[in-house]
Amino acid sequence: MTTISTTTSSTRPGSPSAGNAYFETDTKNYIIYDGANWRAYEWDATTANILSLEFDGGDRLDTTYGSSSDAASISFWMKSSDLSSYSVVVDNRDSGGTAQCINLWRPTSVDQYGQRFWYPTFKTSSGTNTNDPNYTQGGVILLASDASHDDAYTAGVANSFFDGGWHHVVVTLANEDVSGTLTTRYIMYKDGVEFINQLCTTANGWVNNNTFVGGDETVHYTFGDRRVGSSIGYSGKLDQMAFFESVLSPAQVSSIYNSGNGGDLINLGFSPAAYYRIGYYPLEDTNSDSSTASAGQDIGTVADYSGNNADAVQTTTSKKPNYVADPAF
Amino acid sequence: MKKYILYSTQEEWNASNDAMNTLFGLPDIHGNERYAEITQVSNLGHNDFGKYIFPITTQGNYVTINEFNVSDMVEFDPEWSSEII
Repeated sequence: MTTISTTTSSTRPGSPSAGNAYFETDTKNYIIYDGANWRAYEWDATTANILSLEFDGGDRLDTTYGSSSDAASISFWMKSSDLSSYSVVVDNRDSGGTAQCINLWRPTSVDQYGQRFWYPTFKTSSGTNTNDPNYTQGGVILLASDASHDDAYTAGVANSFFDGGWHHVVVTLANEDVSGTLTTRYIMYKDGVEFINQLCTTANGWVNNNTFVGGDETVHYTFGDRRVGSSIGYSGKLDQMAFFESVLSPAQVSSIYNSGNGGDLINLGFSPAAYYRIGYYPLEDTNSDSSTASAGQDIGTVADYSGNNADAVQTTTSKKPNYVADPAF
Repeated sequence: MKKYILYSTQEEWNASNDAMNTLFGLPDIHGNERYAEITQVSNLGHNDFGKYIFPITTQGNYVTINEFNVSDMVEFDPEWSSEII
C-alpha cells in the first residue's frame, strides 16, 4: 500500500521538489509543491449521513422528476411506528388521479377489508393495474394482516416495516417475455432481502395481464404524501430516496443495504435518475430561510444529487418536513 | 405531530391562514409561498363532512400552536378523506 508522507504546516520540507506531496496533519490539507509554491487542498470534513427527514403526516416534498421508462426502481430508508392512519410514502399520479409509475401506500392498521397493504400501482396500456379485487385502483398485497387475506408473500411480515426501526425498502418494476407476451414483474426487498417477486398476471390475482408502459415525464414524483387529492401523509422518517430507470439487481440492492456509513450511491457506482441523499454531509439542502439545512429546521429544498437537477421542494410552510439527527445508517 | 382546527366556513379558514401568512411574512424571498393549503373533509359519511381543515404546526420554523386555542384543536382523522387511492 502506498501512503502519503505526513508533515505539519510549521514543519513543511524546506527544499521541496516540484510534485512533492504531503498530508498535513494539523490542517488536514493535502499539499503539493508546484516548484514555486505549496498548493493546499482543503479537507472537506467527513462525508457521512448525519440527518434524516421527519414527516409528520401532513408534510411532503415535490420533486421535478418524472419518468417514461418501462423499467423502474425506488430505493429508500424508512422509520415509522405509526399505524394510525393511511399513509402515502411515494406518489406519482397525474391530475386525474391515474397512477403513472410506482406509488407506495399503506392504509390504516386494519382497513375496511381487514387488510394492510402497500400499494405499488402502475400504468398499463389499459389503465392502472392492480391485484386487489376490492379496489378499483390498487396494487400488490404485501402486508396483509389477517389470516383470510394472508398469502405466501405476506406470512410473517405483517407490520414489519412499521416497527419503529430503520428499514431499507426497494421496489422494482420491469417487463419480461413470458411465452411471447411482455409481462410485468414486481419485486420488493426489505433490508436487502427479496420477499416478494411475482409476475403481474391474472393468475396471480391481478385484474389484467397488461404490461407496465412507463409513466409520464411531466408527472413528477412526490414523497411523504400525495400531491393530488386529499392529504394522506406518511408519519415517520425517510432517508436516501433514490429513483432509477432500471431494475436493481439483488446484488445491487444488497450493496446499497450493506453500504453503511458513507454509502453514497454515486460513490458506490450507481446512476440514479433522481437521488435525494437527505442530510448527507456536506449538506447542500436548505432550510426555509435558504440557509444550509440543520437538525430541527423546516426544509425547503432537498437537493437532487443525480446531476439531473430535480430538486425536491415544499413552498407551503405547514407542509415542510423537518431534519432530525437520526440518520438511517 | 400536527394538530388541526376544523372550520365550518371557508372565510374562517382564510382568516386564520391570512393571519399566519402575516405572522410569518409570507410569501417571502426564500420561496415560502403560503402557510397552508385549503382542504375539506371529503368523506360523505363523516360527521365533519364539508368542514375546512386547518393545520397547526408544533415544530420547526413556523410553529403556530400558540396562536390558537388548544380546545379548538383535534388530531388528524384518517376518515376525513373518503378516497382510498
